[in-house]
Amino acid sequence: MSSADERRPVSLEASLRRLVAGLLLATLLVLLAIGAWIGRESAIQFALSRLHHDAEAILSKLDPQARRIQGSLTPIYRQPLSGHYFVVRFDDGSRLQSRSLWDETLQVPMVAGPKPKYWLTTGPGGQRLVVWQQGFEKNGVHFSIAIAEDVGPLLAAIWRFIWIGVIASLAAVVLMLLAQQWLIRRAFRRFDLVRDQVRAIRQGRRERIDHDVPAEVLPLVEELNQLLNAWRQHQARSRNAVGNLAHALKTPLQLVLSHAQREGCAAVQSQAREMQQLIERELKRARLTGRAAVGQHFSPERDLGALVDTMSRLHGQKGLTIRTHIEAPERLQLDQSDFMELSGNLLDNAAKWAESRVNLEFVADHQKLCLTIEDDGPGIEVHHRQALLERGNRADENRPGHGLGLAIVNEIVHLYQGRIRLEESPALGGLRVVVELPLAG
Amino acid sequence: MRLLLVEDHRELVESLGAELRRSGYAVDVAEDGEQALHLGMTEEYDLAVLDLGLPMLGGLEVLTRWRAAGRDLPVLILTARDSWMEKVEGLKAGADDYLTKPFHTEELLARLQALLRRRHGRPQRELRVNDLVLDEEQQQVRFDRGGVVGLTGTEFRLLRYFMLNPGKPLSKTRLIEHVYEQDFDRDSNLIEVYVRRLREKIGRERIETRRGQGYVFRG
Repeated sequence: MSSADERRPVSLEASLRRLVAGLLLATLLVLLAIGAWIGRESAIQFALSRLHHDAEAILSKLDPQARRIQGSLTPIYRQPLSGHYFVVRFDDGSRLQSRSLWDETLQVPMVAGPKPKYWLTTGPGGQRLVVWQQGFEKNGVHFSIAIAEDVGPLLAAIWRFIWIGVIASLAAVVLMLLAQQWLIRRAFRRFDLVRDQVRAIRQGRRERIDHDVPAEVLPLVEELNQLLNAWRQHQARSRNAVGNLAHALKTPLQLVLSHAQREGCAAVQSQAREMQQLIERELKRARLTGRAAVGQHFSPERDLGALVDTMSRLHGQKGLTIRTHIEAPERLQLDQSDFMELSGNLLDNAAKWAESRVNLEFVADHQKLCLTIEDDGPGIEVHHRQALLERGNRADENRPGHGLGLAIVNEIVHLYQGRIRLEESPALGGLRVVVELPLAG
Repeated sequence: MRLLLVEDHRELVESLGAELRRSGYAVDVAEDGEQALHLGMTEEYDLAVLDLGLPMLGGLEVLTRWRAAGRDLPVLILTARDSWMEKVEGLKAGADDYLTKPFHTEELLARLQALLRRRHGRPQRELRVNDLVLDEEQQQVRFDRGGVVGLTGTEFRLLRYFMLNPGKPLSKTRLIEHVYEQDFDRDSNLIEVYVRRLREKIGRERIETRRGQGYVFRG
């Protein structure tokens, strides 16, 4: 299990590069080897056919009885160590050889059959000689003609050609790898686009992925879009289901509760209360959206204004003064209902506990937001503050919803990877709640 | 005080209706949106308790149409929908208060009383006219000089309406409309009987008769 987790993801680009480089190199090497072999063979064959012609000339001018050549041959056979040599060996052991051999000798077999043979050998001065030899009979005398040519320069030219080929091939491989890398990177950049869009969806800035992608990627994008749709529908359905169930349960529970209250049945009453709390909690949690699917965007001026109006009416008897200070862009990347829930609960708590004054401060740019709500109520003792943020805890049983409200606030804050602090308000003396949320994800 | 209870859950209507009547309200019930709309348009209510999830026509729509038609009775929304978005929407549509289910009956009653007092420009916690204090919990009237007098349900409703509208001439028809439920047999003689009983309990001079106009509460 852990070994599978530790495995690094395979890079498509690297494996493609390895494959392409290997194949290219192997192919080029094989081609070069074939080329080298063909070059060498054709050089030798070319030399051999000339040697054969020269041998014919020697044969026609050879006087076997006199053991000498009648008339002249090409001057190259007289020029010392010219690289062109011949040796005629007679069956009595005597030999005739070209002047070009000078005082060197060329080792050839004593007798050769009527079938021509050839081989490579090292001649005078380290020359690379190709030797052609055939046995003849003329005027009743058996002899063999061996004729040799230095193919060193030819072979060297071929090797030079092969080396140029090797270097050019290596350069070609490197170039092709670079080109391939560039092509792959360019192709994968289209994926970056898709990834950016997926991130935008997660942050709620977008609904779906564009279809403006290469044909190979399109099916994936279409599948992703359908998955998104299915997920949204599922989310809406399950949220509705929980919501409907919770709503449907509330009224019967109300009846149980008021009946138990009338009859003075404490056990039923407390159980019904607990059920109420559970329902409220789950209903509220089910309603939370998070960044993933922003429905309507939160607009600080409009929405906080509406909330403050609502608070003033709901807590109208108190003669509450709610001072607001808002410094924020027109719209923020937050789900309206989530953030209304967060600020509504905090404001409601502040209004419940305040003597007469509540301050609301909302400061945001596109990176983060900071919401501060403080009241001039009794505040909360230090050691109770943490417990209040925990799920469903109530500091004061007589004021329903207080603890639950803060627990939901805490859940929303965590959903948005933010932080919440409860502290004493320096300005008003009561509780001050500070919520900070990052905005760009 | 006449109250319109708009709620489609029959058992809740029964138990809540009984509580409301015990607390001195003449309660009419509408079980769907259409009926609620109609009653609110045609009858004179002092208060409405409005559920949002209603058959035929949603509660918010009913409220919006009442307000559009200039019906300005205080409305308390009583609903299971408890998100702040919904609360804000409810108050925007013209509700005066918003209470979520499940609720404590005492809290509902306290809020209804507060709405009534606010409505009649009396934001104080108790209903007082001169030396007369109405104890809405116990349904009795207290005098500053000492002494408490118990009231029957109808007497309580009648006196509360008088005390919320002191110094104004109130016709018998108006009193009947605000003291009795819709299907009550409206015999104006009954009002005379109850006014007489009230006068006996709190003093004749406090309720003045005006020919052709009805009564004026002096306190």
